[in-house]
Amino acid sequence: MRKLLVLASILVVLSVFAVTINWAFLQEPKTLNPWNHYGPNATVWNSYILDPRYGSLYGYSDVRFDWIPSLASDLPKIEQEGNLWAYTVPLRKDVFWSDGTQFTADDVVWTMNIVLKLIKEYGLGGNWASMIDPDYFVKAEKIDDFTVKVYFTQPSLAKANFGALMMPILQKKFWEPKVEEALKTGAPLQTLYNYDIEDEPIIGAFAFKRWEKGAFVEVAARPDYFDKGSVLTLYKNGAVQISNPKTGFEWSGYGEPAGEKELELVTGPYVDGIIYRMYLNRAAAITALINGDVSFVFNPLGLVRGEADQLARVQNVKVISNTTNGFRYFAFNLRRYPMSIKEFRKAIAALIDREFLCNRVLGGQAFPQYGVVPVGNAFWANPKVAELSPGYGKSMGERYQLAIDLLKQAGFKWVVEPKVEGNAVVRQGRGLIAPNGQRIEQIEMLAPGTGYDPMRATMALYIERWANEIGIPIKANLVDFNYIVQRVWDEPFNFDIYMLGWSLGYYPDHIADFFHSKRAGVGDFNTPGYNNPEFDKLADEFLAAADIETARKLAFKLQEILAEDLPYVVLFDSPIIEAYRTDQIIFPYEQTLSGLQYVSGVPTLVKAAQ
Amino acid sequence: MLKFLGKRVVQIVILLFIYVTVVYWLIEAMPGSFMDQYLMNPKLTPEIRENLKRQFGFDKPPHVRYLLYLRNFVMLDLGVSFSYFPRKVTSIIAERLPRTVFLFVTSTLVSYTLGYSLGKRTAWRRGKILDKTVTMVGIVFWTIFLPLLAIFNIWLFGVILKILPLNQFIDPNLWRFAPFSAQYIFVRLLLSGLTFLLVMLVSLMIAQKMKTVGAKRLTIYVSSIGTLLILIVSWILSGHSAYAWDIIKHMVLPVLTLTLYSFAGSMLVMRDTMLDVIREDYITTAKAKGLPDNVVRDKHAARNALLPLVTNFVISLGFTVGGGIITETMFSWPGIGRAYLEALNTQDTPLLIGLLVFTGIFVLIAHLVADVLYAVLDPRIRY
Repeated sequence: MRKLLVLASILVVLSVFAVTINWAFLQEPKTLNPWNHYGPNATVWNSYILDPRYGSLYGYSDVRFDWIPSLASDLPKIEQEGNLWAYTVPLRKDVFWSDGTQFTADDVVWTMNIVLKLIKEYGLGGNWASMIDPDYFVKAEKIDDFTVKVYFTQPSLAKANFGALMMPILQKKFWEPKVEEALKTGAPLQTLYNYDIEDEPIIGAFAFKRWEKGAFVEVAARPDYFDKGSVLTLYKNGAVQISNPKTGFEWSGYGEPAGEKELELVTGPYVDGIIYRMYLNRAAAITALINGDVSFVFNPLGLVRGEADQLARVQNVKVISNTTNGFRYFAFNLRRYPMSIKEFRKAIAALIDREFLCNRVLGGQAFPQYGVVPVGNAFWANPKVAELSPGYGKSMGERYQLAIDLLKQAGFKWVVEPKVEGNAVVRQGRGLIAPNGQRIEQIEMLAPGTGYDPMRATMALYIERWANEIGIPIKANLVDFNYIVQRVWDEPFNFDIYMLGWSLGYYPDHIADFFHSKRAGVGDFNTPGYNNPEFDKLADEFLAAADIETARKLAFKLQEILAEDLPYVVLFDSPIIEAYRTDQIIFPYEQTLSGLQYVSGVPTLVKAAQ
Repeated sequence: MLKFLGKRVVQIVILLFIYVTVVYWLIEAMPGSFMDQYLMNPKLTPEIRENLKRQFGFDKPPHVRYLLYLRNFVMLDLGVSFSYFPRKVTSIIAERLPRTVFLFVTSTLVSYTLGYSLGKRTAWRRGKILDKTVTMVGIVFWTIFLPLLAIFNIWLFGVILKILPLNQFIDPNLWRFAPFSAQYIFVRLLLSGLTFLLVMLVSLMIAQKMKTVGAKRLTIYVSSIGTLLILIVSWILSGHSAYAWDIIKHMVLPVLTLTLYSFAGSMLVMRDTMLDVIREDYITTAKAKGLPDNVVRDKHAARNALLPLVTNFVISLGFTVGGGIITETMFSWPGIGRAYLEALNTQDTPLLIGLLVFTGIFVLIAHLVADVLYAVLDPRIRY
């Protein structure tokens, strides 16, 4: 009886001091099953909960996004073996699953090989298929309990380092019998997607506790989390150091870990649990934040200006702003005349004063973008690209004149030639005649309507006006998003110019996806039909690069070529604005690409405020 | 009557088939598809996209998909949701239905009760201050923008007065330790409500057979209060009362909002019908007999004016299974209405069609029930 009382007292004391934080979601996750989430049913809401749950061989460092070992103990050793390229990865020996089982090479080898089998034989899709690309990934082999060899057809940062080596690793002991059972059924993938994950052993710091459908998901901190107390240090000289005093694990890379420190983080978790509450509208979530029911609101679109202004006035609520990893752009159809003429594209680009549009017209709700790698992705973005943009830093009058000169240079004529005085067009151009003598009647610019994205709609109307001033007959057609997709991808390529946007990953292999000539087929992603052999060659080299420095140089060169050729005119993106309660939680940092929700709210680092 | 019922059932089946067809092709005609999200991922190779298309059935032409849908529909299978893949549409409806039905049936009942009560009183005092005030207030709420009314109520009762929960349908801090899901309590609350209604119905029928007014009243009061007490005690004894109370507490604000928004509809129907009825000779006769005012109003006038209101009420009950997109969104009450919105946004066609068809079936049944009720309530109507 006395023991029972003592136990009860301990539980009461623990519950009093237990700190569970509440965060708001605007939508409910669709699934918490890894096969389904990394398969066909990926949503950002699932990933906020699931991404911290699983481990991968390599990951990104906080803030700087250095590529660093996570479950691996060092960077991979790459060597050619016959026709194949082998990545030898040493594994950490201090990693344990939540059921107490030690993490070993068996888990890595089984996960990689079974995913490949499911992709090839059963059509497993979604993110699994982009992490394990069957054209590159061959197999994974166990060398010993803590060493694996992963074979690829060729070395590739995109497909190896930032692909297969970053995929989530599942526990073999738990999943192998379930997958075997599923394979015996008529619909193995559906069976896998339906498995309950309640008792699934995990590597991450927070175990699943309860999902009350429609209301909340609760996760609880693992007291036995293997990496608790681990210190990540980023040095200003670019070096990274990881050390876990508890287990003795040490790693450093990217230079000598010495000199001034940029950031030092000690891994938690520091809270006992997190409750993700579902609020189905922004106003409710913001009211809950103001009321103190939640301490942070997840919203991939960020707060709008009015909401941010309202929250800035609330005591103990802090509003933060970060750049995003994406861009909004318009694309020319290079298969059509006169969009195929480079000077014509440059003339239109020269007319667009992004600073004026973002700062004056959109009131600072957007920031100008010039290159296909967003400036926020500082390691990969070429800072010279902005200067290469036609008209950069010029006044409106100079821009008009530059556009007219570019058109003349290419052999364009007008029935009535435009005339510029000061910053204004005093005589509007009419009757644009192409170098082949053809009169340009109308060029359609498809752009999303105001209901979908008022910023893009506004920009399209301004571009139409500026172009019309010098006689380029652009007509902005504000339409439904799906209609643009249909015209560009389904019909296909039934457009002159279209305006859309992309959200991007950290490694910029989208440059090759969007502009390599081999991706210009129907339904593929080189929608402008851009075809430049020099670009293709460099893009191939970029995709095959095995070290980051080489890849970076190539990425810079590719960005410069695109800034010169302009198949896309990158326009802007909007910063992501978030808010949290300073009287309830402390984030270890606030400035990070795409905001704190891009890193799932750093659950292992967030602390309770008191 | 049986012949009529048979005829109506055949009509309903034909109508349902036309409805399913129209709904299917309307949704099919929407630009874009669920596959667009995969189309927009440059990391997926064409083969993988083809595989995904096959998994979701997009490799077949629309007319084949339609025929397959019809075949499954006849087998009572509404298909598999795309956005909740591979969950069945019926399982999503089953998950959300109790939440929606509990909220919307309650608010419909409250709204119609209030509308009936106020409608008969305002008609009886036509042109008086009560009539003018209630009609004006009712019409103001009826024409107000519903999200605005919801936000105002949340702000007033949740933020300023802090007497009602802000949002959601349960309090996570209470429910995180619950040994069952909220669905379990919702279903039991619905059963409790149904039990209460059935007891009331039976006691009303018994009361009809009583000879004196006192006996009639006693039967109704005893049965209603007794049932209510038994239900409350059984909830307390079950140990689940705190959870049930939590749901009821969270329901107050949406019910209040929906009632304020919609009671004017039923009130005006009742008021108009009452105004016609009180001009009838038998009302003058009843008054001339010296019967008390409230007896003439409630027993002679209101009962005869009830028919259009009952019809409206029954059809409204049919619509309750459809929930309400705005209400469910504003109060974070994820039910059928919210599922509509999600399905529409993600172009989850099986879920969207399934929800529309499911609601359509209930509305058609409600129409049939209303027709039958007409005959039961009004002896002049014979089919």
